[in-house]
Amino acid sequence: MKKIRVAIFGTGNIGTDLLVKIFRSKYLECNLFSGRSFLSLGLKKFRAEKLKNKRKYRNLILSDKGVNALVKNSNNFDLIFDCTSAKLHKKNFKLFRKLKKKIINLTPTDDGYMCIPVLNLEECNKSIELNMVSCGAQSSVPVAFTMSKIFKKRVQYIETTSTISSKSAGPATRLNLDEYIYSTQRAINYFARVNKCKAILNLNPAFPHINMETTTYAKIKGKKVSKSELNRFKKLLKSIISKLRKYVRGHKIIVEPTLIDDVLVVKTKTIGAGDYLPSYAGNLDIINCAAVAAGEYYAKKK
Amino acid sequence: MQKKNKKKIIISDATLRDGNHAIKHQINRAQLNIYCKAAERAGVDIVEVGHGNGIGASSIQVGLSNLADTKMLEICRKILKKTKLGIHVIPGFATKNDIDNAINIGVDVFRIASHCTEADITQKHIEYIRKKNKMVLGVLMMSHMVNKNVLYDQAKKMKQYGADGLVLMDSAGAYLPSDVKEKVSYLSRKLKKFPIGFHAHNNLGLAIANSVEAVNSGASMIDGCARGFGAGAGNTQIEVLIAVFNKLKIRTNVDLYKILDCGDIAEKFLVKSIPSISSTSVVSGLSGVFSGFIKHVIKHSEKHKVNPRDVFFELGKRNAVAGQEDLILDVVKNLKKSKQNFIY
Repeated sequence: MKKIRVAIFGTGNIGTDLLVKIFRSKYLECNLFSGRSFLSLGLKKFRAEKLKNKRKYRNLILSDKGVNALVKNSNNFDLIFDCTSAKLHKKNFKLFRKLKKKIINLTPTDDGYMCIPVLNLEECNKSIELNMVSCGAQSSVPVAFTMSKIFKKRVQYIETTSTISSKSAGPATRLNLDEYIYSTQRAINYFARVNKCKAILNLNPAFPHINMETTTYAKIKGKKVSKSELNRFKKLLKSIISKLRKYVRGHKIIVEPTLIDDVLVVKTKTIGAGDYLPSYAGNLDIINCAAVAAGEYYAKKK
Repeated sequence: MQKKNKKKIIISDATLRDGNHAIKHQINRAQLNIYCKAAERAGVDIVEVGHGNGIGASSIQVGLSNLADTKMLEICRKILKKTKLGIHVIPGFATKNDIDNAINIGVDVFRIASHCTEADITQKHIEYIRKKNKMVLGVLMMSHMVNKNVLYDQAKKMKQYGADGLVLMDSAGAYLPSDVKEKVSYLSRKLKKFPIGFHAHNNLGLAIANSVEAVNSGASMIDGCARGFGAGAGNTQIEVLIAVFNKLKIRTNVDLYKILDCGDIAEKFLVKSIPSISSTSVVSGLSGVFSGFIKHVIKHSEKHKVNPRDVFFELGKRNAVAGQEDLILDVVKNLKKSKQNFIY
């Protein structure tokens, strides 16, 4: 099978980790890795790798010309992973449209069809632009979705808190906490069909670095949650998480669904694959794994 | 080294914010009304109002507020004239939308807080408030966890973003007076004319002593609460603080008799049980865990029959930060499991 050729735009933590992942993919091939400076860690790393292993990287163009490199090399790829920032995405997305390329958007903006691969790959595949929302959304939305699937309109409110290691939060993440919160809440609204929800993000500097952990709560009104309902919830959640684990292997439940009064709690943990940043950066891993899953699905259907 | 009589110390009263922790964020309209009036009469410089973890923090994770942030601020805004209205803001909980609401209501002082190593998450919010020409202070929470050099680097960042001053919080009540001296004097020496504040908790019975030490080391803003009404073992008891300051001839704008009245009013109308240093609070301070955790720890520990002291030490080992209340259930469940393994 012929691989789909892609470009990665943005050479920070996200872009660089994505590139490592794509070199493992059976369905995707990265031909262009474009950033702003050869001093960026991502470009530096792959410039050195390319010198070491010319054969493996023979098709990979490295550039510090940013978006201009995308225009210049537009015949070399069909799909763009945008790993820059919200600001740059807003600036460039019209140009992406002009290039007539499929876009997978990893910046915290509202643009594109929200994609949580375990829930809606098929549905969003037709869209020209996919939005990977946030790391917190990739881990909490499957749980929130399951809550609303079982308890339907009785779900009054959903809340999610993610804690990530400080080391894994780069400068863009730190400047975009508000955008992270808005987009995560938007995804919960949309997928779990609740009007009221809240997203919280903590950074923890502990050493050794902690793994990403996400707790999702649902306030359930009406009659008390019965044992059989809770079991049905556990069963459905288990099947959804095991599907999710097909593309994020380090993801698991660490506090089983627990009922505290009228609040249902589930806590999950994501250990990263350790591709670019070490395994504590599960937050990076989960959004990139989701982006790769979306890209591969597109490649398979094309 | 004490610079007596020089400049008045700014007194920031956190009764209506930190005290909210002690009553699970259930403060009501009448309580806000009566206390604001008393604080205004006493000449307190700043009254901080809101959910225990600041605006935008009402949540299952930390505790749901009885009143919406905007409601609380509107009530207090109507009363406070000379006394400034302040709020606590933790990015990650609160967003620009919350800040806009507060600006519209007329909040005067914005205290933008982060864990003591994460000052850069406050950049956007501090810069935004700076642009709106409001008073903005950077706050470093859980500041016992790192040394003075780290605190200096973080404080410098907040200063650069445009903060008017810095507040060091001993959120866990873990400081000894020698720690206060070392950190506060280093910061005030290095940061020159940048005002430094100190916010104490009383887990180890040192809140007043630490606050005095802070002033002697160069701090110019001190936080306190009426009857010590605050998270965990409570904060610096503001009426005692003023009494001690008077005795030491440290000047403030606060009237002693009237702040004593504030204490009585708080006891009569706000406080459910007067903060005392319970055995669990001592362990909370020793283990260096955020004071606001105590109610959650006790609740989960009781339910799962584990020792809350063990829970605190385990949370300390895991370096829990403020906002990580969800870790408590995880720790409790693990302790329970390991206890069962031990028995069989």
